[in-house]
Amino acid sequence: MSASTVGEVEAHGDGPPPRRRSITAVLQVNRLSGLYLWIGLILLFGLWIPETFLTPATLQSIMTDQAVTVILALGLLVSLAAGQFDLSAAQTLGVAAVLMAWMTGNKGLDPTIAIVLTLAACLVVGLVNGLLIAWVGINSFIATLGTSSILLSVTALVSGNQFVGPVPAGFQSLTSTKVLGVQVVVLYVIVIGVSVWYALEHTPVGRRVSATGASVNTARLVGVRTNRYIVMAMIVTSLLAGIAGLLLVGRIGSVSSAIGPSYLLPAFAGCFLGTTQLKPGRFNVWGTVLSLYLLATGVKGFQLVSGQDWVTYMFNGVALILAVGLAVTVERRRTHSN
Amino acid sequence: MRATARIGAAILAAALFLTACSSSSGGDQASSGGSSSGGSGFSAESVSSAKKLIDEYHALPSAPKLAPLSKAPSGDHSVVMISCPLPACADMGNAFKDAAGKLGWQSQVLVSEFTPEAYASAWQSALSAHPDGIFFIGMFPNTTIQAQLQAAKDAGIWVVMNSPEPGTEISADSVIEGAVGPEARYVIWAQLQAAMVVADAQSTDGITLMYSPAAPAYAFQAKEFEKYIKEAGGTVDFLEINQQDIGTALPQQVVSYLQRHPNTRYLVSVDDTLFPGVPDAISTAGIDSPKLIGAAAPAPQNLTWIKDGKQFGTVSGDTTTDVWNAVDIMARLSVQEQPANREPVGVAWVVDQANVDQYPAGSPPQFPGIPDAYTQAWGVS
Repeated sequence: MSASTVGEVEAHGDGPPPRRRSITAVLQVNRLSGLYLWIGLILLFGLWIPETFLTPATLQSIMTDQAVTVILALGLLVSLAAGQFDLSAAQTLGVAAVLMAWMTGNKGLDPTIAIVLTLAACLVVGLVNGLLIAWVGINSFIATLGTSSILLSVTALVSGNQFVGPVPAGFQSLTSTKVLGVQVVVLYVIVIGVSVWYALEHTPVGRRVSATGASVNTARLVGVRTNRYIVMAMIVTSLLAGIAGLLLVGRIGSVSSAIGPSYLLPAFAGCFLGTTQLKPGRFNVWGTVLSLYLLATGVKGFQLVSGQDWVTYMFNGVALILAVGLAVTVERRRTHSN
Repeated sequence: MRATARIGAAILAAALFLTACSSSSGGDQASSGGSSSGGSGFSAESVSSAKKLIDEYHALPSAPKLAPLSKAPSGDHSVVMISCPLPACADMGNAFKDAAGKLGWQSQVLVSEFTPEAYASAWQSALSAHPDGIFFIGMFPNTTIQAQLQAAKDAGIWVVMNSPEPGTEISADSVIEGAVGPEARYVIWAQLQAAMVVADAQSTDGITLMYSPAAPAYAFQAKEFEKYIKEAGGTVDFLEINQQDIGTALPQQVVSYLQRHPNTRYLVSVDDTLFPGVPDAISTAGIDSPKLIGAAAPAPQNLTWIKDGKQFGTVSGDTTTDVWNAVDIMARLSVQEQPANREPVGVAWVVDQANVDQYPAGSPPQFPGIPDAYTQAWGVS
């Protein structure tokens, strides 16, 4: 028996001839490498620094601090599923946060009205992005890069390059409340995650979005109104970015115009890392969620060990390259052996 | 099995690499330590001295006392400000236009991005305008604009800087003739922050200073803070952060630090703007919050936190006063007068729960006597 096998599968009756299955196939490393890496990290830090890592505080902070990024990533997932990049999503998050803080904190507007106006603004951003891509025909990369820059100027204009806020305490309670001991933002993540997962994978609309993302021309030939689905996807991305922005300002109270862009890379990293998990080769909800919490766990662990501020960037980069690299290698070996 | 082994090796390698890197340079430095009494509290003498210092700076600052200009300034001058894209810089730009306008001077504010190229380009634009004076916010070490500074000096342009690097020469003969937010300001801010800790603390440890080492003024303030605490017999730990992480990764970094250092009783920040998201993140994690002390520029949220007890206090400055001081130096140079003080400290005010209600309203806040003290000294209305 070679080192890479766990044994022979017994032949049953007239079934197929016995074959060796590698341990990577048994463990489904090509689709679960992130899960194993996550478990490995938990074990590693649990043994290394049990007194600080294995605590409720660590669990709470990992779950809640990642919520904004996860919601933004779930929004990005929809446009990525439709084959489009939305580079303006993070700045849409920033616009939502600044608008909300400005309307409620600086102008005294009722939070409910401010939420509606903020989400309406985000809807307009998504609509403009969608129209630029689907009807004008600008590459999504370029179109959303342009709108991102415009949005940055809008936030600077609204905020006067100041910190705006703080938002009212009542609004902040929308993010700080605990339900059954769990921070409510974690529940928002679950609800939004299930909704996006169901919409993308279990509805005809979701299948048409995925078909559009797989090949616009093929989808169009089989009757999918691809432009409509691209516009819809961009609107959903912007709306979820807006929700993420609302949650962000609810958590930190005051924001500046520069708050958005720093969320872009972690969210995209989660989406791309997610394509190596659970459903390799496809943008998928739970792969993305798994990836982001894997990254958050690693960052938290190393922060507890060392406290270096650069650990976040280092770990995100190393984990992304490692996980994608391993998945690609395993997939190539599997294809080769087949 | 080879792939599995590879995964294990990769995890191990990454972990070892990161650990090796992190342990080599020390992220939050467990530093210092004078004659620490390890938890028995500061001496009565230190506490008394700290309280006396706080009392001196606890009243709402009054209007600055300025000597009248020796003669009326000409309105035939133009001045340029090289500013930055941060919120506080926008305030300073507005104040600069107001102050120059009172003198009848033409003014221009050039906003540079945080890149050396943009900074140098802004300087070239400023020099091309042939102004009489330039007020600038240092974004990079002055060595990066040495040629421009010399060109300004050669052209007889008055150059005034905001928050110069410690050790920068400020004199009539140097390329920079005046400075607002000088070393002395960071010394007094640091001393007041440290005094707030000493006057309140029940022990000499559990004191952490959070700062960005990339900013020379912050690093200087951190050293001065440590110096005061050590002389009082205490110890200071440092939490080094990146300003780009404000409101995003920073709160999580603070929580992780507090988990590793559960005995932290005071978390002092060189700047109030580092605090957004921190109280909420601490509360969410369910860990005991240390007393938060800020400095420089409390935002409305910081003031709310002070009222609510989520922030212990701050040492407030006022950027508007700084700008009027900068223009005052230029006004005096314009009439061939040697400024009595080329490095005015500006506002340093201890704000806590007892006096936070006195904090001036407005954005930016309107401190008493600003700008009337200046316009009266200049003889303009």
